[in-house]
Amino acid sequence: MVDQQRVNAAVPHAVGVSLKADHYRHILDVKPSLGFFEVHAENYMGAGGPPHAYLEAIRAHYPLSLHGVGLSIGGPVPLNTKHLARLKQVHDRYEPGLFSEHLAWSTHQPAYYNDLLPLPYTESTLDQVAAHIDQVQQMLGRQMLLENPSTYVIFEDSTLEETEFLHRVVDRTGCGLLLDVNNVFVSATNSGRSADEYLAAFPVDHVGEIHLGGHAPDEDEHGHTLLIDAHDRAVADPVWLLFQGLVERIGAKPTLVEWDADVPAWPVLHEQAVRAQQILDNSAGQEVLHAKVR
Amino acid sequence: MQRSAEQVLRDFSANLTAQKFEVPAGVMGRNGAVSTRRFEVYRNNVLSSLCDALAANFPAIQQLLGAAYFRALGVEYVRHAPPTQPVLSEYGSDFPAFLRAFPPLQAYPYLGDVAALEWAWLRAYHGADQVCTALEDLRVVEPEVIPLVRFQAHPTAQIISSGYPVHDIFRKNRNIEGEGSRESGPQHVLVVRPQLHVTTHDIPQDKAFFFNCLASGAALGEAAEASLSQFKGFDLEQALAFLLQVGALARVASCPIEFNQRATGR
Repeated sequence: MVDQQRVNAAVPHAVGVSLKADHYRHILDVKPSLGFFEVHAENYMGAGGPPHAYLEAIRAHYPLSLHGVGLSIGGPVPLNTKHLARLKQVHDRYEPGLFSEHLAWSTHQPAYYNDLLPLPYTESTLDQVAAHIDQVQQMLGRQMLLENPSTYVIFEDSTLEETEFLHRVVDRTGCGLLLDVNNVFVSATNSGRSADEYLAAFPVDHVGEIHLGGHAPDEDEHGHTLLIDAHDRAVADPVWLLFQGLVERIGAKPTLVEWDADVPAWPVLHEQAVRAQQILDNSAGQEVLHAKVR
Repeated sequence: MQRSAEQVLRDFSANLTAQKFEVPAGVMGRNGAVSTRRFEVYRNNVLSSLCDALAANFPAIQQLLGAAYFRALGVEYVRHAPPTQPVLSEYGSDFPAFLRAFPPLQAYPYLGDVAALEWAWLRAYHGADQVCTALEDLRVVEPEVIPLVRFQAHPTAQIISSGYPVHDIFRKNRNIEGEGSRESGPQHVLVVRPQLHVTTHDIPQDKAFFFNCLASGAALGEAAEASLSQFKGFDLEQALAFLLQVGALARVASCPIEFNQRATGR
């Protein structure tokens, strides 16, 4: 592979979108104005071929955020070291400005379930998660961001609030957090709690990235609203409002618009990114205004 | 009774893909109510996403069987052989064997071979990149030692041989334009990705045999002799030119000492 001149790795406090194969050609032809692209690490673990050729070409022009979906950090079994080694290869090859993974599990040996499954929040799962994050950060030689999950159930055995759990994981490991605002709204609605209260308790000082995405509305057998974190449509209005409030509170952060299923034509995805960027820009304007007032 | 997290997640995973399931103890919906529907979201995510991954890897099989049948078959396969690592472009290595052995599909014995061709295509797509230099390498070999040359096959090159017209079935069900579809007869397909695009070539049996000899390390002379003794009318020059032209042979891997000296320019 020929070494290409690359833009700086650092992901700016601006909006990016998930990189999808359907959009590779358009992005290279048009070079849209965007802060960064985010890819799922597992899609770039093959030896070669078109995925790497396109990602190399796009990485030359944009910073990259690497997002893992398969490590199973929240599981009770040891991390798959072979997978971790492959992750390091992708990481070292593309020099991402950010790396993130999920507070969830997906493997229970021998099966890999390809879903972000929930865990009870207890002292013992805290120990496991912290140990796994230490292992990942040591392997990659960098700080990782941990993402809050979307959940449909609650565990009777949980003894810690999710926000308290995240607080303590950050204290123990020095990791940062990826705050998925859609997940906050989905989980809060599904558990009948307040998204605002969750965000008020969230350790926002450690947020290194924000995620926005779409969810599908449904209902459970008791007549309660059940939101599915489907990433198959535009960001919902209440999620835009939460995002706006959050940005006014903590300022601009690298912000991703995710769209992973029923991926739309580029202009539809780009319009979502423009909307998110306007919210970041307005907050920057307010900061300037505040500074001037002071 | 306090369950360990390990116990809770073991219960959770035991009920994720099995046909018969119950909501694991300690897993609740809103207000502490047990909700089958909520647990089913996870079951559906797991089974659907893995069936989707299988369909992405075997699109011709999905088109042949129809989406509904493929989904039901996919669920059977996931229960039989769930992925054991998170890279889903590598999921389905034994799907061809599963199809061949699946009792309800015994009337369609070609399905396994079509799936094997799709698997070879996928491996070529994600396989190692290598620029072919075999033609340039050969130009500096003294004519009298050419029979001693051994090649390295391209890392993505593979032959799928079948008693059925798998290439035609594969192309038709991936909606690839081309020659008309054959109803019967064997086919040998060379799959290779010399650059960005995976290519598939319907080739005669003698060429397939010749390539497999070279790929397994035989010297050119040995491979030619073996092919000639097996197949009357085998055209060595034409077969070698073809394999070089389509990028199935990546480079000259070993050759007599005279070549090495000349090739490296001393």
